[in-house]
Amino acid sequence: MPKAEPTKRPDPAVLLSQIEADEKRQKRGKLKIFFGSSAGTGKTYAMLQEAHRRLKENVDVLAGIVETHDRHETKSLLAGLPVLPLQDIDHRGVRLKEFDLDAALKRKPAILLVDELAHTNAAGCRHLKRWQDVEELLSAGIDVYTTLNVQHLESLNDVVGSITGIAVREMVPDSIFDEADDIIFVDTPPDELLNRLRDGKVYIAPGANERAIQNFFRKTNLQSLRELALRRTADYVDADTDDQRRREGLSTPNVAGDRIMVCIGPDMFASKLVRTAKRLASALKSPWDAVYVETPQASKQDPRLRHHIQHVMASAERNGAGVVSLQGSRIGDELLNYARNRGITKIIIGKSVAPAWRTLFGKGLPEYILAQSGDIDVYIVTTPAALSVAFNRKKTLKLPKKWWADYLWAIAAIGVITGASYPSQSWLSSMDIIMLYLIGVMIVSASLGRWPSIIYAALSVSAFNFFFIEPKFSFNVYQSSYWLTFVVMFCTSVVISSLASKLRDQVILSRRREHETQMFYGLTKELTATRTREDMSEALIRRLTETAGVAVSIWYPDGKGFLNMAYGEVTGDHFKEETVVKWCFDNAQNAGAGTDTMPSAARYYLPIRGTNMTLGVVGVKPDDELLLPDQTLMIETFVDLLGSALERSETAEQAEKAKMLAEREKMRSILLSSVSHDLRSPLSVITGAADTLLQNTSMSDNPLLKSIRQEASRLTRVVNNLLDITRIEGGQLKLNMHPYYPAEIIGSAAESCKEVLKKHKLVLNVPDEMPFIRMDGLLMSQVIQNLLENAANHTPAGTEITVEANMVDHGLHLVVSDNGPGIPLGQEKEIFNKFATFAQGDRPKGAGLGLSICQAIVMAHMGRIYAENRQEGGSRFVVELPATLTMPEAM
Amino acid sequence: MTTKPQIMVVEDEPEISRFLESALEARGYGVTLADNGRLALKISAAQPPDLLILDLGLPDMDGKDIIKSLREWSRLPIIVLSARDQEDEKVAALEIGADDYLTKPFGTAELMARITVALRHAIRREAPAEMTYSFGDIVVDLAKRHVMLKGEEVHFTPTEYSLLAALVRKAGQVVTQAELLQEVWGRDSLDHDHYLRIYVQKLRQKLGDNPLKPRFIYTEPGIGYRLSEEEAG
Repeated sequence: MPKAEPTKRPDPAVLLSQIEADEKRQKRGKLKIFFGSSAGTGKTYAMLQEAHRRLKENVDVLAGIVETHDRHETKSLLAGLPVLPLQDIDHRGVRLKEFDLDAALKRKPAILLVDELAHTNAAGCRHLKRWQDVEELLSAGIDVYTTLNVQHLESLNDVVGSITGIAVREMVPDSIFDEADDIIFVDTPPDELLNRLRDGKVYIAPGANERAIQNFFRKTNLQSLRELALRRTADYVDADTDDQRRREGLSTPNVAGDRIMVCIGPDMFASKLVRTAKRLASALKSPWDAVYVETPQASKQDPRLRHHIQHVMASAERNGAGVVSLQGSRIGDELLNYARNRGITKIIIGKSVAPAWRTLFGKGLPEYILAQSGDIDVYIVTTPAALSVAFNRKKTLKLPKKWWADYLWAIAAIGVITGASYPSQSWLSSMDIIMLYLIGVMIVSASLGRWPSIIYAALSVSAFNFFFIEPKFSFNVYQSSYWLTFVVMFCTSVVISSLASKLRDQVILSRRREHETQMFYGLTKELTATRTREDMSEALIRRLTETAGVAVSIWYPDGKGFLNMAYGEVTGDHFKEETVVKWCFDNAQNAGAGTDTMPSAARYYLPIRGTNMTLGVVGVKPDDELLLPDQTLMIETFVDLLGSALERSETAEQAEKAKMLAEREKMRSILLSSVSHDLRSPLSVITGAADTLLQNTSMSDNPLLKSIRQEASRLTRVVNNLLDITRIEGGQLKLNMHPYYPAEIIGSAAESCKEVLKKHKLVLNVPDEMPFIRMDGLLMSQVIQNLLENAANHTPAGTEITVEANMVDHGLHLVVSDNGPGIPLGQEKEIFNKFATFAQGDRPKGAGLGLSICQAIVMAHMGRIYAENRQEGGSRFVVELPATLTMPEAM
Repeated sequence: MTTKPQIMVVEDEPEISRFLESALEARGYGVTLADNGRLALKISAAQPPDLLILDLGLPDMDGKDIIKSLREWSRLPIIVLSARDQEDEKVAALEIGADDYLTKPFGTAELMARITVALRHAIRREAPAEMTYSFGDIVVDLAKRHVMLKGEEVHFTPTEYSLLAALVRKAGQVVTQAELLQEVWGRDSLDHDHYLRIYVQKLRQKLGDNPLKPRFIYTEPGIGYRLSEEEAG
C-alpha cells in the first residue's frame, strides 16, 4: 500500500503563470546589472572583465557604449572588445555622441554592453531614457550588461536625497532592477573609495559643483549609500528566492496579507507618495493600488501639473501598482469606499500643503481620512522638499480663458438687482432687499461657480450699504446694528454660495460622466451595427472629434506590412511621423507626444490592439499642447473598443468564409464520389470482362482483346490520377504518418508497377542499412509508382530504369533515373504543372497529372521534388524528404 | 468435389454483379446475388454461403455494419471491394473481421486468387489437424514450432516466431499492422509500429527475403503485410 504522504505539489495556476513568465523571459534577452553604491566602485571595470571572459568563450560580445572617462585601466580593458560606433545627434547645432540603438538592433550581438543605465538620452534619440533603449534591446532577444548606482533607483530617490542633500534627476524604475536576471554587486569599502577619489580615479562630471562633490563623498554618506545598496541587493535576492520557492512548490513566507492604497491628489506630492508606497509595498511584499482623485477643479489646473501626474501614475503602473482614477466631489468618502471594497489595509496620503485658512472651515483630507478610516492604518507623508520642487506659483495659477467674463457677470448681477430694487425701496423693507441679493448669490454661484459668487457676496454687502442704508451713497453707517446685518448677510451669502457651487460642481461632473457614458454607449452601438473597417474607423473619428475635440488619423497595415494612413490629413510632418507610427505599431506601445518615446512628435499615437496582434495605429492631435489624463484614458478605451470591434468583424468574416468553404467541400466530395463511382464501375466491368475472356484459352491471343484490357487499365490510371489531384487540391490530403524503411516502400511500389514495367529493366539500388523515415507509406509509394510509370511511358522499351535511395544530411534522397530522351530543355519545372505533357514523337502520353500529384504529396511531407537531365543522357527525378522526418532507430 | 462452393456477391451495381456472376460461374462456383445489405444479412442467415464478396459502398447500410453483424455468429470468409478513396474504410473493415480486400477496378485473376486462399483458410479452420505450411523452400510447423529453410532449421526468438506464426496463419491474406501488433506485442503497443518494421526486417533477413524484391513477405503500405503462399515467379 502506498504511503499517504502529502506531496508538495505546486499549485498548477501558480506554476502556469510561472511558466508563462519563463517563456516570455526566454524569448527576451537577459539583463545583468553591475550594481554599486556610488560612482567609482568599479562597476564598468567589472563589466568589462566579465565581457572579456565571455569573449574568450567565443560569445559574440559587443560594446554598445562604455564610459571610460579617460581612465587608462578601463580603456585598456575596452581595447580587446569589438565596439559599436556611436551615432552623432545634431541637436540645435550642438553635436552630441549617443548610443546607436538602431545599429545595435541591426547588428544583434549575443551580449551587448550598455554602460550607465540611468543616462538621459539627448533630444532626438528615440527614447527619453537609456533604460528604455535597454528594454527594447531585451525585447529583441539581446542579452544586455549594464551598470547602475543605487541613487538612481526610483524608489530610493528621496532617501538618497535626504542622505546626501543632492537631488538626483536621473531615475530608473525599480521594476527594471527587480526583473533583471542577474545583479552583480560591485563593492568598494568607503575608505578605499575616498583614496581613489583623492588619486583622481573617480570620474566627476566636468563643471560639477566642487562643494556638492565634497558633500557627497563624505565617509558617512558613502557608508549610508553602501548600506542602502546592500539592502536593495538583499531585497532582490530575497525576491529571487521567493520566486525559486514558488517554482519548487514551497509556499513563500507570506506577510499579513496587506494591501496598500496610495492617494494621489493633483499636487506635487504625487511622485514622492508613489515612491514611498512602492518601498512599503515591496518591504511588505503586498500588492498596492495608486488612486488618483479627480476633482471638478482638476480641469482648471495647469496642464504641466496634469502631465506630471500622468507621468507619476504611469511610473506607479510600471512599478506594479494597480492604477485607478476616482471621480467625485466628496473625495474622502470616495477614497474610503474604494479602500473598503478592495480590502485595503494601509492607506498612504500626503499631508495637505494648503494654507491654514483653507482648513478653518472644514477638515483637511488627511484628517478626514484619519477620522473615518476605522480599522485601516493611515500613513501620512510629508516633505518640505515637495514645496521647493513645486512649479512657480505664478505660472501654476493660470486661470482659464475669459475668467474675467464670469466676474463681469457677477458684477452685472449686482447691478441688475440694485437697479431693480432702488426705485422700489419705498415699499420694500431692507430685509426684502437682502433676500433679493441672496437669491442673486444662489443664481450666480450655481451658474458661475465659487469665486465669482464670493466676489458677488462681498459686492452685494457693499452695494446694500451704499445704496440702501442711511446715509445713502456712502459707506458710513449711522445705526451700528447694521454691521451685524452686514456680517450675517456676508456669511449667509458665502455659505449659500459654497453649497450652491458644490451642487454645481456635482452637476457638471455628473453631466460629464453622462456625456462620456453616452459616448461609450453610442460608439459601442455604432461599432456593433457596422461591419466594415471603413464604417468603424469613421465612427471612431466622429466620436473622438465630438468628445475630445482632437484631430484623429488612423493608420492600417497593407498586405505587405507597410503602414498607410487610411484616415486623417496628410500634414507636412507626415514623413517624420511615419517613424513614430511604425514604432508604435511594431512595439504595440503608446508613443509620440506626451509619452517617453519620441515625445517631439506632433501627435499622440496609440496602437489598435487585437488579441494577438496590432491591427493599426491611431494618431491624436490635441487642441492644446497636451491631453488630460482622463482624456487619454477615454481615447484609449475608444481605441480598444475599435480594436475589439475590428477583430470581431474579422472573426465573423472568417466564420462566414469557413462555412462557405465547408459547403463547397461537401459539394465537391459528393461530386467526387459520384464521379468516382460512375467511372469506376464500368471500368471494373470492362477490365474484368476482358480478363475473363483472356483466360479463356481460345481467345487468349486475340490482339483486340489484349488492347481492350491494356487501354482499360490505362484509363483506370488516368481516372485515379484525376480523382487524386481533385482530392489533393480540395485540401483533403491528410497524411497518415508512420515510420517505414524506405526499402519496403520502394519494393512495394516496384511490385505494383510490375505490369507497367514489363518491357523495361528495373534496377533498385538501396543500401541495406537505412533509418526509419516517417511518411504516409501509401502516398509515398504512389509517388514512386508515378515516377516509375512516367519513366516507363517516356522511354523506349528495353532501357534501364534505376531507383536509388540514400541518406543525405539525415534526410532521404531518392532518385528515379532513366536512359530515355530526357526532358526538353527549359521544361524541368513545367512538367510538374497540371496537364503538362510534352509532345514526344507522335502522341502525348499520359494525362500529365502523375507528376503534379507527386509534387503535391512530396510538398505535403515538407520535402521537394525536381527533375533534371542527366549528363550521360536520360532524365532523373529527385525526391528529397527533410531530416525532421528521419527517426533515430531507438528502441 | 462434392458440392460447388457458394459465393454471395453483395453489390448494388447490376453491371458488376452480372460480370462477377459470369466470371465466378465460369470458375465453377455457385453464385447468389444481393443488391443491398439487409437482403445479404437475411440470405446469409437462411442459407449461409461459403464466401462473401462485399462492396463497401452500399446504398442502404455501411459495409462495416454488415461485417460486424455477420461476425457475431459466423466465421464465413469475407472479401471487401473498395474504391481508391476509401483507404481508411478498407483498413477499418479488415480490422473488424474482413479477411481480405480488393481495390476497384481489379483483375479477375487477382480476385480468383483471393477467393481460393480465403476458402482454403476456411477449410483449415474447420480441420485444424493440418499444422504445417510450406511456401517456396520454407516449411513452418506450427505444432512443433520450428521452421526449416532449404531443409535446415532456422532459429527465431520467441517474438520473431510469433510474428511469423501470425503471418503464416493468414498466409495469402493481408494482415493489418494493428492485428500483428496486438497479437505479438499486446494491446498496449498499437502505436509502436516501428517494432513491427524492425521484426519484419529480421524475419526477412533470416528467411533470405529482400524488401526491395520480396518473395515471401509483401509490404502493403498503410495497411500491413501479406505472406505469399507461393514463391513469386
